[in-house]
Amino acid sequence: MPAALGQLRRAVNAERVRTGGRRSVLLGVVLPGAVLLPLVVTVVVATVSEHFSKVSGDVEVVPVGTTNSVYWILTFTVTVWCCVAAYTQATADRGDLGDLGRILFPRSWTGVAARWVFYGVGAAVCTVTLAALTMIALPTFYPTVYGDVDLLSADGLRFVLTIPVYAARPWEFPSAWPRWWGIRRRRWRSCSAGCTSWRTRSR
Amino acid sequence: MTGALSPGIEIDRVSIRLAGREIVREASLRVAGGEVTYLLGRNGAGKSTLLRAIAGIVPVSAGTISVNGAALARAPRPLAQIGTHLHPDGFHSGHTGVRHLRWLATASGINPARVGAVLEAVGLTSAADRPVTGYSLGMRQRLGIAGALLGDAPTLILDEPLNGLDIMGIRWMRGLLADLAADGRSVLVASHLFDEVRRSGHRVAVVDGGRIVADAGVDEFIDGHASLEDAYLSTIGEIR
Repeated sequence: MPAALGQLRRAVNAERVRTGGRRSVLLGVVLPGAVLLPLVVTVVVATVSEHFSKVSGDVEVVPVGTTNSVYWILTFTVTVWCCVAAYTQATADRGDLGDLGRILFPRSWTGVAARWVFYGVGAAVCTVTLAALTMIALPTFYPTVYGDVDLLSADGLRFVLTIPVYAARPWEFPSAWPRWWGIRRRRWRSCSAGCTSWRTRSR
Repeated sequence: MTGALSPGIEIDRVSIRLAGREIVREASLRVAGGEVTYLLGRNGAGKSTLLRAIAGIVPVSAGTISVNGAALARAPRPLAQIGTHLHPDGFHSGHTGVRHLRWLATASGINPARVGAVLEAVGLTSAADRPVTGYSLGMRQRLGIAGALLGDAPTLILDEPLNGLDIMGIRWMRGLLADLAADGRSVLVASHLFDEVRRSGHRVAVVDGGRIVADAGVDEFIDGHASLEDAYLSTIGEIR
């Protein structure tokens, strides 16, 4: 078990090195898609809402509560991290890289688990940080519409605690599952073939 | 060279079955330290499958393979046990040469400080910061060989490493193989270039139909034939 954990630690570090560089998926996709896009959408929506709330007329702008304040963060940030995780998993063993991967990590689950840890932790930290900053900034800069938003309220704290779990949950890592299923199905077939053979012999 | 491992590969009556077909049948071979052994055979004879089994990628259905005196399976740092270069295209497309080797070093628990040394050893220092997608076949071969040298392993397996190398590259490779053997390492190379086998090989093993049909020193193998090519063709039954 310590050897397996050592390999997992190295695999997580290797994923960090793999995603680095000028053509990094973190710079090219995560930064614009998971950080800038939800922040821009949130700011635009808040600016327009605040503007309309101050214009006298038939349009009524309802104040937004804490539970609705980080909608765009939860939507975009988690989805983009999920897509990045799926892409990196799908390309990890592409072409001749598969052989190299099997030499480096003889246990089939090591690479999958390492990517889940790396992108799961990344998604969790990124999402909860953006959500907390948003819940602090919105009531400060847009008090008319977002004045009720409070990071330290029950809803705010619930978000801070549950968003990391939501962002890092394993079923957000879809492309890993066919591989896991493939492994399990092969094992099940071997197991059932072995049982059939044993039953045939024992008759 | 790493530690006090005794370099070598021992293949004992190994059979490999893939997709219901027996690719390798009861193959036995010993690759000793201080020797370059060439694995010869027609296309599809089972050379690459045997190399992949030695690297632990393909499971054997019967027999045993030991590398440096122990089973390689689930070795904590495989690249420090056996340096492998099996494909000229095993790279992440977005990587530069140096990032590929850093990734490999990190994944294998090898000190990344070795990256600069192996890049220099294979003559890729000036191209290290270029994306691998822009590398020629010869440069990709050199990068693959750099990956095999990264772990300073006592045993190396190389699958057709001379393909795509220019004449300078071939001369460099010849020197590298001689240096590796002189350093006491065991090197197993699959190749079809008989001139290089004659120049840099100590032993040859011929695979035909999944079986190892000959295993001898180069001179002993040629003995009684006009050339290495004739000896090989005679061994696989193409000429009499």
